[in-house]
Amino acid sequence: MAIELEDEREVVTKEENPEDLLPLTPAMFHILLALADRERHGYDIMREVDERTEGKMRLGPGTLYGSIKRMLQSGWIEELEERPDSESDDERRRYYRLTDFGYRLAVAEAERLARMVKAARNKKLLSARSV
Amino acid sequence: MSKSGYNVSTRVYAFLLFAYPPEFRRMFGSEMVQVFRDCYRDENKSHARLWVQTLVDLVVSVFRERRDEPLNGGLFMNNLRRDLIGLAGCVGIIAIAAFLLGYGRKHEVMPILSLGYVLDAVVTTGVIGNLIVFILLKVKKRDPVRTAACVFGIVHAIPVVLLLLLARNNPSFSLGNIVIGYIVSFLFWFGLHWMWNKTVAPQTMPEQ
Repeated sequence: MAIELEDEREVVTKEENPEDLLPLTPAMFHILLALADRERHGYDIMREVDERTEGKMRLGPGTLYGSIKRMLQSGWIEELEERPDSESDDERRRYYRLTDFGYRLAVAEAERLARMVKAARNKKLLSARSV
Repeated sequence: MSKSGYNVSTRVYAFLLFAYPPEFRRMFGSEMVQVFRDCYRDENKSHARLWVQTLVDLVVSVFRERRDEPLNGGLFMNNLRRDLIGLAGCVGIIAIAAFLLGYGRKHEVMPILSLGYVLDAVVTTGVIGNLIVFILLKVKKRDPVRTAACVFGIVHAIPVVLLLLLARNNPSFSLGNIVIGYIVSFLFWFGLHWMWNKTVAPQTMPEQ
């Protein structure tokens, strides 16, 4: 079942410059990052974030779906009409993927963070090992 | 992992989702339960830890979703502010009454001691009565004035009956003073709730 959010979507964000929406909240950036390589369902997103951050950031169901709701409304992500692995997977799961705008937004946020890392490196805050 | 623990936990979590706005629950409720089930199944350290994390997440996200409700967000914040002011007011009144009572008895201040029965009643019934009224109004949509009248009526009647049964042979027992004290206390708390309810905007009134 696709979520009925098409009408509510703020289409304006698609024409907006992603830079204007930065910085993103950590939860939102982690979700965008999780969806950057492939479509995922909610629990898969949660697990990916947990593994990538080595358990330091754990999205609860409320935070996860609150963020997903806002990202759907803003047109950063979209729900897939069909499940990728419909035979072996639970049919109650819903899958999400990045929209073009969501992808550009994730890139913009990653570049912003990279610039900050570069600044930290220039100020010798990062050792050669950690770079 | 016990199957009964798994089932009970899932049901409890599904029930807790009623705290979210109906629209949010309709859109994501079943998926959130599914995610909770997955987390519970895969949690191999401590389910208590999972519950603590889930409850913290629930409280924070419920507040956020309620606040951001398109139509009722402002109403929710107004109600929350109103509830907190009301609760703080009740706690303040009870604290002042308890302080006056303690001070009056210690230093034998007659004007305060003459109010002793009233202050006693205000403190004891205020703590229990306000808590019950607050919980009832939050859990069920009831008429606030009628709820306050019933609760404070019962909460004031019970101590009078108990005192009558247990302390009537005590030489210092004075039924008249006790009854007057509890009637004044009832009028005080009920009057306060009645006045407080008058300040509520019409759209926040629960359905009768």
